[in-house]
Amino acid sequence: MTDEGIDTGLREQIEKLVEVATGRVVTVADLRAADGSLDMAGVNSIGYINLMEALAQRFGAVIDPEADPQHLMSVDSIARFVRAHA
Amino acid sequence: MAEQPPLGEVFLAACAEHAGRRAVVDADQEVTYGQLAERVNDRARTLVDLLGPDEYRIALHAANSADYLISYYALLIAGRLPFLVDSQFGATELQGIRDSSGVDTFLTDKPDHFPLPSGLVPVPGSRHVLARPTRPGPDVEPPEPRQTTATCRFTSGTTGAPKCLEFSHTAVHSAALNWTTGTGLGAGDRVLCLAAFTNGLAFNTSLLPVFLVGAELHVYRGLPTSSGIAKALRRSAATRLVAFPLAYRLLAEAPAPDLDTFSDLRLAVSAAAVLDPAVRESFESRYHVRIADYYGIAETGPCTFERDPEYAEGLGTALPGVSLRIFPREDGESEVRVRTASMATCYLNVPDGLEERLDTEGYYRTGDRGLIHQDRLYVTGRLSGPVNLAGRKVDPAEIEQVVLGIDGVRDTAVFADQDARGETVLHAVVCGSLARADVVNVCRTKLAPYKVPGRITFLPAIPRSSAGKVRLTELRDLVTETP
Repeated sequence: MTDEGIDTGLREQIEKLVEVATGRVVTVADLRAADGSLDMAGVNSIGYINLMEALAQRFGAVIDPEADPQHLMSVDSIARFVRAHA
Repeated sequence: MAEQPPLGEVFLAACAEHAGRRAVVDADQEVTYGQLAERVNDRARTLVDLLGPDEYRIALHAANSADYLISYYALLIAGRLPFLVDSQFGATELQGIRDSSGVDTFLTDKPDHFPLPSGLVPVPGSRHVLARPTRPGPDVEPPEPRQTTATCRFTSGTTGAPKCLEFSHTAVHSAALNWTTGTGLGAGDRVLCLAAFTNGLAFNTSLLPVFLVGAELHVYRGLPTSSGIAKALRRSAATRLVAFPLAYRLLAEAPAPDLDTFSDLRLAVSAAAVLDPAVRESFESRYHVRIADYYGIAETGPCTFERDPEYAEGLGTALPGVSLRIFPREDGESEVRVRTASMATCYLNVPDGLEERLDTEGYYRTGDRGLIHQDRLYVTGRLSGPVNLAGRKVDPAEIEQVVLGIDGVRDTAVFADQDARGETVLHAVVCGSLARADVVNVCRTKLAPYKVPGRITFLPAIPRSSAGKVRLTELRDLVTETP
């Protein structure tokens, strides 16, 4: 567990999902260099859409980007959402 | 085609003809044609009160909504010239539009995040707010739009200022009429449109055509995920879906689709980017709905449509009012050229720019490689021009200019690449001592999000010819070797 109480395994799974969702254009290393911020790492709208599909399929977690955009901001915010809703 | 009446009049006449029918459904609100006309007229009066007599060029910088439709048609009724601006455009693009196209007033639905410092005036009865940028533009007088121009739309530019296309009342009306006639759109249709109204896909298939025939327009909000699209289809019972190829891929790959959701759907319309034949086949066999993949260009409007359900290949035959030809170029390539009744008149901010793209017979040089077989158009690649990113055109030179402006960047080259999924991405090669995040940060603040390079590689130098031109093949080899 990290100091924010997020399971390291879950965080790594989400980092990997982001990498795959962006067609491996944004790597896990890029994400970590951007402190987990998806925008700062350069995830584009297609990457976000692919990621939302993947989160729904892997965890059953459906994020509404219109209503709750804050959940998609970073690896940790996604992890918190998954833990709370999956 | 004979001169058509002003678009505002055309729209109000359609509303009067179909007054009792449902016109627009957006979230939980439904509006009949009669109510729509009333709201458009009210908004037009409000805007006339709020706008000064010199405020003629008004940009709509907002996401799809019923409010958007009301503001657009109200501007036409109020005698203003609407400029339809991508809601994702950032400070650089908006400043370019203001300075080169003379747009001083914006209608925005994001007043708290409007990229230019502005004086804001609420529009009563609307989520839109008038934004008047406070910093004056350059002293240079912007060019005057033609008197016949009804609407301006934008396509990619090279200098930070998107190129502004002027469309006459006749051109917009022709495009809508040709679409309704050529595709069989009728009063019984319910159209669910996933594309932004600023994009040609929505502008040409939905914004006016739906209203001309008394059909229903269902507005989609948010990112088009498979579950979101399925939910919208269920709620709308849409007979037509208008979407980019990406949406069809998501639906084709969705793990457990509810087939009943698609039971009313008769036609799926795709355009603006390449539709993978495997996606098409998978979608059609799964949902038993045909995808009509059509060809259209920002400058010319819609060009083709496949009417015959037996054809599952190519981009269809020419729509009414459209002439297609394949031109053999000197370099041996075959270029698609088109002439339509719905062509733009000119680029407002690039004098002679559009005229230079026309050949001696008035055909537009598309920059697409293609062929015609059994009267069907097949596009097989790009010969020149901007990069197509999932339906949005981007000129790499625009991105290069922004990257070159970053402290520490000595040189850069931006080109179209592919990600691991085979999707087109922008690849920026940068020479300088800085990190990926530095490049991403600056691009995010200055450009629309979709223009931010996805792949960034750092090299000591970019191979260039003696004339300074990037040697792209050599560059691609170098970045492949770079971890």
